[in-house]
Amino acid sequence: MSEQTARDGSSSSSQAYGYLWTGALAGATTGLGLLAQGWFAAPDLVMLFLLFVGVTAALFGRGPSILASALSVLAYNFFFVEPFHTFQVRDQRNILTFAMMFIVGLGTSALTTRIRRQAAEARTREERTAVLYDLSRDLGSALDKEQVAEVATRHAAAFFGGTAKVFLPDASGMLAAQAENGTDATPDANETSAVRWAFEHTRMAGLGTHTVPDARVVCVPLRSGLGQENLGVLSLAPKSTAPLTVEQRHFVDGFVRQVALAFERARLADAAKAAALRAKTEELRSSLLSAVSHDLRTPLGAITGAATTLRDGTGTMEPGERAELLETICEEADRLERLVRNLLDMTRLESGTLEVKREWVPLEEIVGAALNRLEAQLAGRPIRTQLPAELPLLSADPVLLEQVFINLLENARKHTPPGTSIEIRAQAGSNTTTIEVADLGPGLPPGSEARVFERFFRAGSTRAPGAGLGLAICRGIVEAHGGTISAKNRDGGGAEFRMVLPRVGEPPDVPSDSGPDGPDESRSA
Amino acid sequence: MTSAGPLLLVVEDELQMRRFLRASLGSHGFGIVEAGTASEAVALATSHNPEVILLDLGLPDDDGIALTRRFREWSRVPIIVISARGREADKVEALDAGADDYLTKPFSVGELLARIRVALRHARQAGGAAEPLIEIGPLRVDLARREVTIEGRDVRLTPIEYRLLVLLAQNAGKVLTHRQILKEVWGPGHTEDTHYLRVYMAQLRRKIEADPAQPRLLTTEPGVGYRLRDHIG
Repeated sequence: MSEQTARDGSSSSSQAYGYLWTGALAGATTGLGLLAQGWFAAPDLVMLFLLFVGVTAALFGRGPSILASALSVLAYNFFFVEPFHTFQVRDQRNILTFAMMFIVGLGTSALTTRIRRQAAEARTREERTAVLYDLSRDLGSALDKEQVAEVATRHAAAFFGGTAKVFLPDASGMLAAQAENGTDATPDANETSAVRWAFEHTRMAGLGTHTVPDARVVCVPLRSGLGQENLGVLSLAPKSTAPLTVEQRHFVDGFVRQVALAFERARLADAAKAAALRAKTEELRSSLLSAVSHDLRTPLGAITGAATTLRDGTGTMEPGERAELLETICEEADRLERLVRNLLDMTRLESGTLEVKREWVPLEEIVGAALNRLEAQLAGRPIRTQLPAELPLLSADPVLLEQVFINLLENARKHTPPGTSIEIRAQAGSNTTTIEVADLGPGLPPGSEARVFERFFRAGSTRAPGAGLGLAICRGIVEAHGGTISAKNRDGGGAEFRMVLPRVGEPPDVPSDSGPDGPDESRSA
Repeated sequence: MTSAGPLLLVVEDELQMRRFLRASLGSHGFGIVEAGTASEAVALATSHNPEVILLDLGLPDDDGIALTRRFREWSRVPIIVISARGREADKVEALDAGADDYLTKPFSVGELLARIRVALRHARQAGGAAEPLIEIGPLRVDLARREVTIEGRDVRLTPIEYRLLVLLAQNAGKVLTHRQILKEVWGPGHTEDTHYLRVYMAQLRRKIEADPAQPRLLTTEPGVGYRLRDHIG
């Protein structure tokens, strides 16, 4: 791995240098000793050699410093102890000096080397701590499994050299590979079996292990230690094929534990999200049930009451009363139909089965269809439309968008006094179409502008009938088209609903025929 | 049931719906035979030779669209399909399979009677020559003189607009699917080019409607097609 190989490479070449330098320094020390000989006694010069050994140990480590000790003893003996220029020793006391010199030299070298090694270890530890720190920081900002896998592979590849992949079990239990962005994640046969084995046995496999040692990768199981299960496998393809040292394995363990913890966290976050969604669905279901049961019972009660009165009281009833009861039945049945329709629409929106079938369609046609559909309900109300002829075709689902207009118009009808006008306006922006439906009623209760689009929200008193679903459906449909819808009170009074639909693509060309002056035109006088 | 009026075959499996149809149509002078299943419907259609068939698309033993196709193999009797809301694709399929019109549940007796009247009128016309003059409210289409007027004023139409209007006018009161119109006006190669139709329909509305955003003549049936109303009420 890059860290190790770098240090190995530098140590073998620098060791040769170290020995050469030691020889050179030995020569220099001896020269210095010879120059200083006139002023100092021979035993003082021992100190000079000890200094040399110390420097060598500090600079070049153990081997060169042992060499330096030996060279010091030899040079001291040869140049500074009588008889000069021989290795013979006449005075027995000098033996002790040599021995002490050698032992002190060796001791210095051993101590210095240990300090050096400890310094190097401290540096490595610091580097690894920094790596793990960086990893944990990046993992901390990873929100889901994919991001965790991305961070893990990027850091593993950067630190260990070579490439890295993460294998995670999918819903069916198959291990799917994810590599660093932009690299190929497809595993070969050896890697696949090593990964599989590591995952199933929760032990390392692949390169440098006893299982599938032919693989080019080291496979490390991802276990956080929190849960019993194995979350996946980290697969490293190092540059060198040397097996991992014990120390490196420890480091890999630490690395993997952090990654596994991050996966565990992402998984728990997913589970929490799913649980929150379930709770929300449950809450929605119960509020739906209570709202619906009330809203279904009210018209049903009115219909049953009116119908039984008509059945049982034929003889005694005034024609006016009869007509009123029949009218009640029709109105309440309409209301029931609207409610059921809204509930079905809401269910389709909520369940995500709503399919937006986009077609190129003029807004005018959709507005016209909605107004036609509501002709009876809107009778006696002036409807003002301002739809510029040059409005581009919309890419929208005509049936769904018609429903939006129907709901907005029904909403306006319900909340405004009879006979007041309703306006429908549209204008094209550079890449949007803005459509407004405005009325002249009492407007929205202050502060409820955003809430009117919530399910079951009913503005102010519940005098106006309805389950509070119409506008929620509008929002659902508009958002399914990639648009937005908002509500506000108009300056002059009344509510205004505005939707902004994005322009999607370029409308197709429609070949124009020969025009009004063509040969085949209908005759005009 | 004995009655002097036209005989209708009601194909509907729900008893309540049949009761309602029997009561309301009977009181309007129609004779009625009822079938609860597709096989019964075929048998009654051959034995009684009804003038209009009301067909619910949700039958227990066969799908209404297949039944429509079977009827069309040997009969031109008008078929009005009845279906639930939100099943636009079914309606289009039934219409393209040969049904004449549709109604969406729940519907009022008024709507039902209007559909039956249109169906009967078109069926009776089918034998004879096409009417040379069609008048609907302010609109007047003179086929012989190729003249279109609105409240007596001439309307200048392009050839495609004219063909569109004539097709809709000859089928006044009846819904025509996008596919049917495209095939008639643009040719069989253009049955998917719905946007052609929409753009020309918008142009046509600008020429014959007072307010094209609130059409009184040319109405849109979203997801299905268009209808030229046969009267303005």
